[in-house]
Amino acid sequence: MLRDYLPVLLQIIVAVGFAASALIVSVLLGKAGRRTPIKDSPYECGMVPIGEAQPRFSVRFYLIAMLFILFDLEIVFMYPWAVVYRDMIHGHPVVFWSMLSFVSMLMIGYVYALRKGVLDWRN
Amino acid sequence: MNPTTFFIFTTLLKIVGIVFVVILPMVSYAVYAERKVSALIQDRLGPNRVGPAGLFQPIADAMKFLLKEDFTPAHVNKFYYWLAPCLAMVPAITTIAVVPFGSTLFGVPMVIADINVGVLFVFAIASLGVYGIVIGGWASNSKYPFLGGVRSTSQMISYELSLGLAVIPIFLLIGNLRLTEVVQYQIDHGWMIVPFAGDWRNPLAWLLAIPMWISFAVFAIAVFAETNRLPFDLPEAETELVGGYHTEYSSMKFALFFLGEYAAMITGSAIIVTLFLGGWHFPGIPDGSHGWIFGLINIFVFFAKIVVLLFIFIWVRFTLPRFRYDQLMRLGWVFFFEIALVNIFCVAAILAFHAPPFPKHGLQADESDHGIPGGKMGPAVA
Amino acid sequence: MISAPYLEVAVLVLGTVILLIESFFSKFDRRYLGYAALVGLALIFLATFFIAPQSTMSSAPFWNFYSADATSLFFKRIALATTAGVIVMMFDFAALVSSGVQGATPQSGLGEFFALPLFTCAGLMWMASAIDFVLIFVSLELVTISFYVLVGFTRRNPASLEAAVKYLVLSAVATGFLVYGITWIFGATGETNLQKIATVLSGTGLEQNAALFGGVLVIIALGFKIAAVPFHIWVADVYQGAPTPVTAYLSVGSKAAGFIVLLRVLDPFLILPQMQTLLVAIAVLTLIYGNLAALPQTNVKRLLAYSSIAHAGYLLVAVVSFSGRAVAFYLVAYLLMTLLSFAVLILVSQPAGDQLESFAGLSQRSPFLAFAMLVAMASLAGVPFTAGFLGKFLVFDAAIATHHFGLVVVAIVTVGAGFYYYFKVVRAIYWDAPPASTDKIIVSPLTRVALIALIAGTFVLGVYPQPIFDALAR
Repeated sequence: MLRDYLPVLLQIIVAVGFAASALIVSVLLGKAGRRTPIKDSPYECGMVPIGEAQPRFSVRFYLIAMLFILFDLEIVFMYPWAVVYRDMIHGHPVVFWSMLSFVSMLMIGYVYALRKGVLDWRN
Repeated sequence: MNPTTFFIFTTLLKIVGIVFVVILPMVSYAVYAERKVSALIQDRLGPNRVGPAGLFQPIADAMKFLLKEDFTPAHVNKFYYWLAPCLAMVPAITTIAVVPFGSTLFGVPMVIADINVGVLFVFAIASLGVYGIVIGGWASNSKYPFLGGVRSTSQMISYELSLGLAVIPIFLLIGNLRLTEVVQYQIDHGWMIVPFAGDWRNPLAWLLAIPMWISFAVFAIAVFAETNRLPFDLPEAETELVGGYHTEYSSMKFALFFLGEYAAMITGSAIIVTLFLGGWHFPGIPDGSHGWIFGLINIFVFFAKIVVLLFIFIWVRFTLPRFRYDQLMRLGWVFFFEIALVNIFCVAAILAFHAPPFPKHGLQADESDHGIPGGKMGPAVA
Repeated sequence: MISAPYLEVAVLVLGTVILLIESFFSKFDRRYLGYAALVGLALIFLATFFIAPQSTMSSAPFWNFYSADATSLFFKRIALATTAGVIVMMFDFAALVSSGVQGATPQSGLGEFFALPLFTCAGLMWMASAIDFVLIFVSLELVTISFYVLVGFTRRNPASLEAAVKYLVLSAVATGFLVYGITWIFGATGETNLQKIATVLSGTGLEQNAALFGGVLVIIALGFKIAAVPFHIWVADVYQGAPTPVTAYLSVGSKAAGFIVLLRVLDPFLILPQMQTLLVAIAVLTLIYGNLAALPQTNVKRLLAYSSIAHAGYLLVAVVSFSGRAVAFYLVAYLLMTLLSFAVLILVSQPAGDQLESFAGLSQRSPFLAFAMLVAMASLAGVPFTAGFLGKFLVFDAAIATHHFGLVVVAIVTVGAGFYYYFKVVRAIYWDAPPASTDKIIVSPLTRVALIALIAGTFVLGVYPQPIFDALAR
């Protein structure tokens, strides 16, 4: 079991190593220029930056994030179900109906959220 | 050489081979191809100065990235500013570890890590890519990157749902999350987009083709959105957000973002190929147990399929206009989400309510196979 | 004959249907949703009298989680009745729901305001039936999460928001304690089912300290739900800040559910003597603190909050004496008088606020409401011939029967304190002069019916408690 994951670990080490070494090489080889106040300022198309750097943004992004957590969990629930489905379905239609009822319950919440304008970006 | 040493040695060989010999050159030349193909589409010449037909352009680009000034602006959050490019690239490269890119070569299975939760691993790691973008946008402490980061997060998590839902029909059919099994099933029963192959007279198999095509379409388009490619490139929409989340980045750190994006494209294509297009299999070509030359051909077939998909990525980019943000969200949350969900139950119903069960892959009968290394695809030396 | 689990399913379906109607249709009077909820709850309440006894039902694994005995049915009825009462109050409160929200119509938010209590109700009903820690946890979460929303429902009111945040944070901490306690108990006994835990605990050769530790953590979490001292810190602020119907719901529904879970959870644990000592200590603290802290209050809502802590103390005395009958009767009495007092409070406080002064001279402005409040206060204080008196009597009786004499002495002394602060309200109503510019308070017919029913209930149960005992003994 663990042996299966050893290559994954190696792969991660290689990937991280590559990223780190690329950055280090670039620091070593890259030409260092002068720091000027203009160069240090945030890029705003050549204008002098105004206002907060991290402005307030639409609350809908939060709603999307919350909905995502709900439905992503739903999907995770469906994976084990999908894997055992063909082994269990014959003679046990409850396997089908239980998942259908679970999803339709979530769908009520989904429909409610849609009707309440979660995805309505106009106002 | 004892089996463990051999295992580690071959694994390292495969990793180095895939990452440095295949993926990284492929990324460089994908950029080149992108410029060439766009030039073709737009009736221009494209890069043509460095080497014959501009072939050495990617190398020149790489040198340039390395030699440019490595500048960290004063207003950024230093630690996360450095972390973000790595976070954007590492998941894309790590994901490829579980994808079988060939049959066997000299008896060694051509997959880096044959783990029993293959697809879950893919989603788990690939979804980490969003951290690179959101942290990059946030740590830059500047307006455009911030907006790009927020948009991007929202877009990527939205399409992750469709991505996750679209593959469930496959696992209903196969009953295993291991990607080598997915390929094996497709060899035995036809590719996922042609589930009737090898079972021509069964109308149910033909019926199954419809949801499989829907799955394929949803998955492929969601991969476009996940990799922030046009028509879903709102996170870095040049016309409104300058460079999006990487506006404040330069030199190698910028290159790593770029690399991550293209590597994600390649990985995404690899997953599409593995799940829907038969992986390394091509009708009429035997697997690596019939000689090493076939093993090589299998690997070549796999990457040829990826190249075709990459071409489609580029083709789409220079053909379709960008979505508006509300359209993008509506498409992901309403259309794809619903159709993928309905699709799952269509497949489940087809599998459930019809008497003769589809031939299920023989290995499944053997319960002990779940999660035990060195099964059918294990190292031959063991 | 109906199978018991369908009751909760019916409540849930009712809630979702209301929610969907609210979201799909825009042009209708949202109060019809409230009427629909009331009718639905009434029908489900009726259905509880036609439940098939558990023995005739299948032995599916489901019944390891869920019990349909007389006690759970009884508490389901309490939950349904409370919810119905709360929804009646919500009609009177409706005008305040979306006040202060920009661009809101008088109707906006009302649909959810009527639907959310139904989800809470389903959670409470599941809690009444839960005999497994898993179901206890899940139903408790259903209750608490709907309460998070309800407490912060008047979202432009800073007090309501503060209350919601306090409730959210402290409740999350309590949930943490609960889950941690469950894991300890599971670790020590290897079971989540309460009956099986009891079997394991009564056996020998067990790591009792681990189980005891888990039990204490669970009691801390439940102590939070029932507002026992020292887990009461949230009570005053949250009760005061929440919309008044929600406060009533919190103090009755949340408490009732907490107590049935406490009874069920303690069932296996009371074998351990340390648990008994701990509970006695909590009960004494709760009694003294709740009654003393209520004395100086001038805000009626806050006063009721502290009185709710005090009543948790009396209920804990009944729990320590392990008299389910006393707990059940006391909760019914508490339901009647609390709903009554909050219903009057909503009507009186709408123009003038929750302060004690706004009750001044109520007897001249609305004799009916004055009388209702008088009955509620008398019953809360424990005046004979009211349900509150009989409830306290049963509690003391049970405590004496189990030789908790010290506890009884403390309880009786604190009842004296209770008389003082409850009659502060009565004095304001009947003796103080009304403010110069006041007019009559209009009571809608629905509220009037509900108030009359509550008053009648208080008196009838005060002299004839038999129906409650019959329902419990089925």
